[in-house]
Amino acid sequence: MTFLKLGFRSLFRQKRRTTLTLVVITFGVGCLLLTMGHTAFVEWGLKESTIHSETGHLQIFNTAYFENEEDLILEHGLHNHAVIESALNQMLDVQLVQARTNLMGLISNGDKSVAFVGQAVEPEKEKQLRMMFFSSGASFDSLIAYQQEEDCVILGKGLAESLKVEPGDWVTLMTNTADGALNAIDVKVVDTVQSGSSELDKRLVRIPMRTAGMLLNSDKVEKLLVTLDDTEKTEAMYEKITDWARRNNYSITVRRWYEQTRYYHQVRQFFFQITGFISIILFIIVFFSTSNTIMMSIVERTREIGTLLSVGTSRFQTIKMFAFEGLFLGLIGGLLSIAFGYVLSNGINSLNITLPPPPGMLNEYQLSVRTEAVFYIPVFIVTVAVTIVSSLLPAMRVTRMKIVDALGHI
Amino acid sequence: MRYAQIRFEQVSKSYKLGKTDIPALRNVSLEVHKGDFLVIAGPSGSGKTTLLNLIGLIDRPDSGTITLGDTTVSNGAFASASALRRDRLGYVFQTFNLIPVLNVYENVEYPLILQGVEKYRRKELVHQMLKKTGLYSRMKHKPRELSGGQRQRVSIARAVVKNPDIVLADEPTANLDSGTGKEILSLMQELNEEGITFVFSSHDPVIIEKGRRVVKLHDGCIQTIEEREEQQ
Repeated sequence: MTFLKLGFRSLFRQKRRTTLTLVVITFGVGCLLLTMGHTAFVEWGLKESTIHSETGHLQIFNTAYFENEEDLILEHGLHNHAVIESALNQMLDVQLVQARTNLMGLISNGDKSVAFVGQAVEPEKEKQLRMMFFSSGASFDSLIAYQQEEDCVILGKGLAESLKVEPGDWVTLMTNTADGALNAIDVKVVDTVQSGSSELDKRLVRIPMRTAGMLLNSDKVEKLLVTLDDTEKTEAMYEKITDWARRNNYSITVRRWYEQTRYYHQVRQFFFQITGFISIILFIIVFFSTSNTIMMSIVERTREIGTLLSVGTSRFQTIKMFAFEGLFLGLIGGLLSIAFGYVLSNGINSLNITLPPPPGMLNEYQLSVRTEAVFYIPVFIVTVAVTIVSSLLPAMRVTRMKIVDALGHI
Repeated sequence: MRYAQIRFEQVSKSYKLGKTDIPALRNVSLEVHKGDFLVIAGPSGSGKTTLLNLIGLIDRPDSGTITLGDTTVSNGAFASASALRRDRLGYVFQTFNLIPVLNVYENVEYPLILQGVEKYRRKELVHQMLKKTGLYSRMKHKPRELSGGQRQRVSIARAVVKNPDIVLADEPTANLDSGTGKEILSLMQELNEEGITFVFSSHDPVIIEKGRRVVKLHDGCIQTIEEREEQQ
């Protein structure tokens, strides 16, 4: 307790120096929290937009889909998807169940044929899925409007430009059917879309499930997407659906959203590396700043250290005193950093700043910074740990200090 | 036969100045007895402070043996010196050396905390000592708020509160005016009469006169040891 008291009070001997150190810690760590907050927002946004546009929370496949290579499209598709969908819709927490099939083939305007990447979708449900996460889903409106009247598609903007077609024009889709024959179908282009990736837009064709069924000559679907009311429930629902399938002898495999999106993990890893690098730099600055403060303090208090040692304080106790000084610097600095980071983050959020689209993307996005205990607490702990270690190193000088020399220090 | 609280046998100590060895003490043999009021006198550079440092176990001899009570602490056996300093020795410094962030009460209490004395007992002992040294009304003051004489009283109280075998004082009145110096000396004499052993250095003839035993050093050697029991 005495050494805690000594450590704490010693902080206020050189108020200006302590203040400067605290400013360095607060500004450095506060800015780190800001960076982490923004990264967390981007990661969260990417996660939720991936779920609410590409993967859903869970995907259900025929188990054979993963066990055997398909020789023909939909060879291992879900044939009983309507029954499964109906059962899943009864489950609490399930918001949406929809079918999807990916297909590939050639698209032609009569003069030019190019390869396409097709997504067979249920347009109403695709719109509904996107509307769950800050999106209008308006890109599916044309499909919804025309799919009952005629066979129609939406093309990626790049693909439409490549084929020189516009909404209202007709194109031909060619692909293999589920039984291996070659099939073609004329479809009307009802709209063009920007998916967010300019590369994908050069190949993208969205086609209603009914039309795709005709093209592929099959009523199977590749997979079912299950969307929940909360991403946090993914694991619980995974267990529940797996258990339900086992009990009902359905040969299906359930995959969670994060098992189906490599891009999300790559981006996350990229952000992790950037944030890690910034963290290392900032904590090195904090380390040297604190170390310098404690070193100056030790030099100035050499005679006092000599006095403490001469009255029977052990060297370990003396080092402990400086470690406590570092601890308090860390605690105060850490708390100030959290306050600074929190206020700054909320300040930035309230300004509604819009940033240009990231490379490869098309849409602007709003600068937003998250304030979450999940990274505030670890950063606080690391700040305290760094200041303790950075005060221990100069304090080790005490172990080499001769009492007589220390007492004679001017 | 009087009990020797500390015994020096053929103790030598030298310091290095560049590549030259400067002898500070040469083959000094000395005993400090319980209840002594011993003054180490001599001109500057005679080895007074070195002798005090060695008695106080804050420096190591090059050769010879130092025995504190029944414990021989020379010949590299300094590992336990910290505990001996904590439990059996008290220090009064020429420049007071109080801990500036602690108030008077806390400064005096500090050695008792190191010894692990219970809080209620510490309070009792510190209050007793502050009353004895006339600092009771100043117990909440920080050292910077005290005069030189008051600071030295705190230093003495800090040294004596743990009831050590010996209190060492290096020129305790050197930084004080003559009147305050006399007051400090009187306080030390009073405490000595209560049984505390004092060993202190001085080159002030007025102070030296008050010693019951005076060890005169010259060039690191003991020149004379005068016994002045009659002054009591």
